[in-house]
Amino acid sequence: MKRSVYKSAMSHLKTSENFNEATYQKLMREMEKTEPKGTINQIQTKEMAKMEKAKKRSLTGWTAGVAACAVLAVGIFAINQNGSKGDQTAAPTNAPAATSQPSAAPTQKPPIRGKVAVNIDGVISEVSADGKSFKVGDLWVEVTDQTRLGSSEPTAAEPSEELLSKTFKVGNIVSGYTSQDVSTGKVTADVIYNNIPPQK
Amino acid sequence: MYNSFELNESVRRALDRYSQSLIKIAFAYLKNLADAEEVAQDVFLAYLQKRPVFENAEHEKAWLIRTTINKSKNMLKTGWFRSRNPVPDNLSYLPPEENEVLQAVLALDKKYRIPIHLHYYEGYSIQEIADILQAKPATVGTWLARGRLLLKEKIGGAEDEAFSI
Repeated sequence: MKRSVYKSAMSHLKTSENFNEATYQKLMREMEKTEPKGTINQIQTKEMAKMEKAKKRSLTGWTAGVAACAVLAVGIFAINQNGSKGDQTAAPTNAPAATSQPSAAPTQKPPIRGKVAVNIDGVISEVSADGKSFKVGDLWVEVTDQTRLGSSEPTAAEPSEELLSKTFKVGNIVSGYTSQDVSTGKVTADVIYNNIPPQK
Repeated sequence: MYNSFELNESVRRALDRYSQSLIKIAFAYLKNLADAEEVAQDVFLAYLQKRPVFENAEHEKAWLIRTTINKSKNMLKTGWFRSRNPVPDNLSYLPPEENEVLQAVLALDKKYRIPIHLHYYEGYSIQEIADILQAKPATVGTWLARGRLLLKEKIGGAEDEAFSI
């Protein structure tokens, strides 16, 4: 077999004399760029630092979470407290006076409250000719000399003309009480608390 | 995975063993020694950066050759490479016969040029060339045969040999 001329020609091609050394130096420079100090120990140190950071981050996260939960719980508790106070202040006026909150304002007097029995309540639909009787719903109510006008309770407000008109007219809103049986259809009022003329 | 010392050693060893082969392959592709050396440097840089693990020295050489071919192809595709018109390397220092054969091989289409280079310079078999070029052995055989035929037409050759390259 004849010697390969092509192989010989390629072998005689002149390449840079210091190609290997120059290439090696270039590679080392590249390596230094990508890994400044490039040792496994440093990589491990970096990894450790990363892990430490991650741990700190998770710890901070947990702390923040717990703190947020605590704040939330306190907030909910406070809101509930305020809500219950509000409910109590908005309680019906006929609630017992003794249920006032002693802790809310110890120096402040509790509001005066009371309730009275009412079994005559409604709008007058008819008035008798003498003006002494009126009809509320299906009940005829007679007002006599014995009938008291206004509440005689010690804490009751003074009756005014607006709230307790002296004449009974159709359309007036009345409330009062009778000790008689209202199911009979006709009673005599023991007391008339209100007789309010309709708003004009 | 190498540590830095092992990597340095393996790169230096590869440089010593294969740098000339890679430059010649890139030269066969690019027809310019300066470009060929640049490609070879890029190949060793890729070796350093990718840190491939090889089964043996042959595997390592095959990877380097394949990378060299790919990088040469990439360089050929660049607009900068296409747009320029380099002065051909002066190969007059070669003996006339060698110069003639080399010029004839370089004048071939690259699909014939590279298999011929790998076969006649590196001494690879058709199967090995097929593995490196990721082609079928039959295709590589055809490329070699056609390349030889074209060279024979150009520079002639003894009847008992395909051609005297």
